[in-house]
Amino acid sequence: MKPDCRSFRIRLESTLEGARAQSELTSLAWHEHLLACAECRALLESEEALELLLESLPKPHLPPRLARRVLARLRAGDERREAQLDRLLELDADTRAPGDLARRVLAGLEAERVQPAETRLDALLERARAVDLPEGLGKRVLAHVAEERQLTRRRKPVLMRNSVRLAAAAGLLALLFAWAVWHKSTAPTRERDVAHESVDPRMLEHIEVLEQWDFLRRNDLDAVLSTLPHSDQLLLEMGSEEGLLGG
Amino acid sequence: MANEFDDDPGVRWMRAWQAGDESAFDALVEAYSGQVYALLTRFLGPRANREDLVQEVFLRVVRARERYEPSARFSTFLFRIAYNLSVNETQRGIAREAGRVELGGADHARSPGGMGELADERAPRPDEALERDDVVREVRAAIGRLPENQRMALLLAKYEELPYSEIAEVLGSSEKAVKSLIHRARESLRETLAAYLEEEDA
Repeated sequence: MKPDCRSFRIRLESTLEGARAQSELTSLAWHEHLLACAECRALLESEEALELLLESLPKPHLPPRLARRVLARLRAGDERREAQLDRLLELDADTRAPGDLARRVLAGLEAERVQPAETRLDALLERARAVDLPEGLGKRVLAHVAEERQLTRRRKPVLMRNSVRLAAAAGLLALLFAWAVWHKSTAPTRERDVAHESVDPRMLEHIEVLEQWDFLRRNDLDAVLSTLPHSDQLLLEMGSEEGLLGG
Repeated sequence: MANEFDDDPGVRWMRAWQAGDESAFDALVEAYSGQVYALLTRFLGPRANREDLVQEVFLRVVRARERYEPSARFSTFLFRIAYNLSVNETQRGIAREAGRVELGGADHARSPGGMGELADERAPRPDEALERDDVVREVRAAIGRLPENQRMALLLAKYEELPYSEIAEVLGSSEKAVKSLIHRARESLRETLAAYLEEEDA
């Protein structure tokens, strides 16, 4: 939108805002911008025509004696309420009801009249806002906070001592782990080499049997030995003679 | 407590009534019931219960008697009540209409919420002769199809000649928002009534 158009439209809107009659709007037609701008001219013509249309609407027809009727109906509501109260007062006088029933009902209805539902709701919400606090709550909260602070202060050195211990333990574990890694990478190799050099695979099987020697001796040794192959029996005897087996 | 609106006749009557002058309330109803009725007619269309609504507006005034404190002209206060009641009424009307569609399966091609479709067709139509005029009917229908806040803003500006600041009070919004509402309302009307506007130009 061109700056000229913008300023024209602002003027048009403010004229519309204050326009009490269509004639005020037509005075805009003399604005020099309109001579040059067809778009704004069309807009003004359209607004003028709309104003004419809106002004052409007939005024709503008012029912005769509207105010009187509205007042009468409002009063009828009041009278109905008063008649109800009269009946209640009569009833109260007849029955001599304890506690002055009619007066209490009257007060209730009067409250209803002067205090609309919205106000009563406000009052209820206001009442709901006020919460009954337990006695001494503030003091108890403060005491609890102070106690917590003291506990925190006491816990602090203990925590620091514990953290020194933890750091030392972690260092030790790291050393052990490093040693284990080193040991794993070296020791198995040597064991494997020894096994290959000095122990026959068949011997390893027998050693497993020999490791159960104590158990076997306590049982029926001969019976067990008899189940072994002859060569194994010889090997066992030889091992026993050379002191390889525990006695 | 003195107030800048104390010169407004409605505010003066309200003050007098609050002070115990019961006749001041009669004066208020006499002076403003027609204005409220006209606004309700323009906003809701020619439905039957406009008089009940006027009564309801003044009943709210009765209820506000004790706590009323002028923050605008009295008419602005009344229009605000009337607007809130009308919006409630429109919502109820839409609910009724929906109920009828659901129960009767009638073909309601008219858009919901507008005042034409909410008009009670059994109601007496005092403006009937004038409504035979196509243009009048179309303009009213076009106004009736505007969203409620745009419609009320336009009606208050055009027919009640309220300044934007007071329209903002009625709608519970800002002056800037009112300006925008009226701008959009006029834009919609120019579009809807384009055919009639050309005729007016001619």
